[in-house]
Amino acid sequence: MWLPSLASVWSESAWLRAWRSGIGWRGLVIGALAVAGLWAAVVLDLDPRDLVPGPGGLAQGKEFLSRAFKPALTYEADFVPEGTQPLPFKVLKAVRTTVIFAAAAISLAVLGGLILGSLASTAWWFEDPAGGSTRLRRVFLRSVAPVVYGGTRVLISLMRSVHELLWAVLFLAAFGLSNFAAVIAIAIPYTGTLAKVFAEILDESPREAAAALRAAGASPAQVFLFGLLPQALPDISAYAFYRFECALRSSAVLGFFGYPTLGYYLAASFENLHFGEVWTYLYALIALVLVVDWWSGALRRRFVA
Amino acid sequence: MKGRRASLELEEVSVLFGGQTRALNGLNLRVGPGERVGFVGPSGAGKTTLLRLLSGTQRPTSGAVRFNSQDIKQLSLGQLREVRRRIGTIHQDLSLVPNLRVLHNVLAGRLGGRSILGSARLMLFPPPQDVERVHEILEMVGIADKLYERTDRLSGGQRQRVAVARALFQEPSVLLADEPVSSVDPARARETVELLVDISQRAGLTLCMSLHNLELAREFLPRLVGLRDGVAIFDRPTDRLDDRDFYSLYELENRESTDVAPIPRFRVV
Ligand SMILES: Nc1ncnc2c1ncn2[C@@H]1O[C@H](COP(=O)(O)OP(=O)(O)O)[C@@H](O)[C@H]1O
Ligand SMILES: [Mg+2]
Repeated sequence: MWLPSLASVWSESAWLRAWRSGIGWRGLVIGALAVAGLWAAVVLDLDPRDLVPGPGGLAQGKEFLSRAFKPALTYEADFVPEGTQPLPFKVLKAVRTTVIFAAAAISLAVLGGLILGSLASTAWWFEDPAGGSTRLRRVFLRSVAPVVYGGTRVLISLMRSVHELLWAVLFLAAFGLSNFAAVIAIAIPYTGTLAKVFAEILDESPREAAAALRAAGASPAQVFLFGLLPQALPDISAYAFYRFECALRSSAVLGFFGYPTLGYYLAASFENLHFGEVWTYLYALIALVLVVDWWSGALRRRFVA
Repeated sequence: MKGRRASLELEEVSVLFGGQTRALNGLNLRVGPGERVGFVGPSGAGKTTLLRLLSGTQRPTSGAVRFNSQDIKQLSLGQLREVRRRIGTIHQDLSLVPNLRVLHNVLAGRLGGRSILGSARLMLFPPPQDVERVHEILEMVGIADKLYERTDRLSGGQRQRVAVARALFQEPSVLLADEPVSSVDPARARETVELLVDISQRAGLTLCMSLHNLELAREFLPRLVGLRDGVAIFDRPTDRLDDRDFYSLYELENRESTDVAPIPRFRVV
């Protein structure tokens, strides 16, 4: 019964008026997102009451938080075997391993990211409007370039779409607890992300200088290396440094699988309810990230500003 | 640099952009070795397009562009690069790498014809004699003290000198300059034009320069080509041009439809 009346109210012109007066695409997208959110909540049976912890959990949580201001400087275990190195040494060693894993992974990833990112950038094949005797070049641009470009893009997506922890699980199953496998597990998705972002930075770099070098007889590789890359380099290195911070966190988390990085000791202390030690490791990780952040900022100020 | 003189020739050249904008329309032009020619005309007349044709970076839609009698369309990519190496261009927007030092921007002028390793060596570990030569050229254009300065720290006028220096370091046979004075004050503009003309004259370079400033064009260039809507309205020795020629270059269209006399958009000197 209400359908016809609604139809009469929302006559065609009324719809058009409403659309023009601002429902528009933005309204539609916001509405769709709201509906999707509600639907997800219903499907997942989300209930805010689930967030209220039980009494045991509450006490443990309180204790954990209370230790935030009292990180441990010595072991909290009742029995510490003779000859065990002091806790600060152990933390520093864990920090060192974390840095080494992350540094090895990010070095590989930057190298791979530069190569794949360059191949996935359109900067190589930006049109040369003169082009000389261009039959070969036209064939090249129509066949080889899209294959290289598209193939690299697909490869980058594949690398990116699997998280480093999943790669780690895969490699753990295949090779056991090998340091090299851990490094590669981080390096693969990081290569993909770096390549994608490097390609975008290269594509957005101004091309006037590159065109000028080409006009002076430089080859495409020279144009790329000396006309385009120098302008992209500040952004590229800034992003690489940011990813190094991320790699530190990934490297720490890989410890959960048994690699001797911060995560390994963090998990062990947590399982033994040694919350003071947990905080010590957490603070070590935070300090590490802050130091790298400061370091990259200092380098950027030196080279870019 | 003498003995590497070069001539440029356009025959019935038209350039269409996107199948409709006719930037140049049936243009004929011959610039002999060591000749100095100015291109004048209102904005949008086709001056930049003409210079791009001459530098071998723009393909004509129809007609032929010849460098030393070789049709550029017939060249292989390698031969085209060889031709481009012999043509130094000062671009309207300068086209420098802002975050490189002046030295490296100038060195980049001589990348053409080098292997990747050779060019990496030139750019990263430049041989002393190349640095020496860059310094000489910077001295000539008046910014020798800026050799190691970052290019984006320089003023507009200084940057323009870097662009000139890069083109000269290339040791070209032809020098092309697109509105080389659009970004500097009048006093500087005069100096720059004088410098380019002087250098070309001494080294026997073929010089083609587009200029907005008619006064400078008439003072320094012995031959002027007047462009309007992609057509050459005149192409004569400067001493055989008078104010009426320039007036016709800039006069308003649809004169018949107006009762009052047209007001010239530019004061013609
Ligand atoms: N890349 C391009 N694409 C489309 N149109 C262009 C392009 N370059 C120039 N044009 C057009 O061609 C005409 C001549 O331009 P141009 O050679 O830049 O003139 P000028 O340098 O004398 O101001 C103008 O109408 C301009 O809009
Ligand atoms: Mg122009």
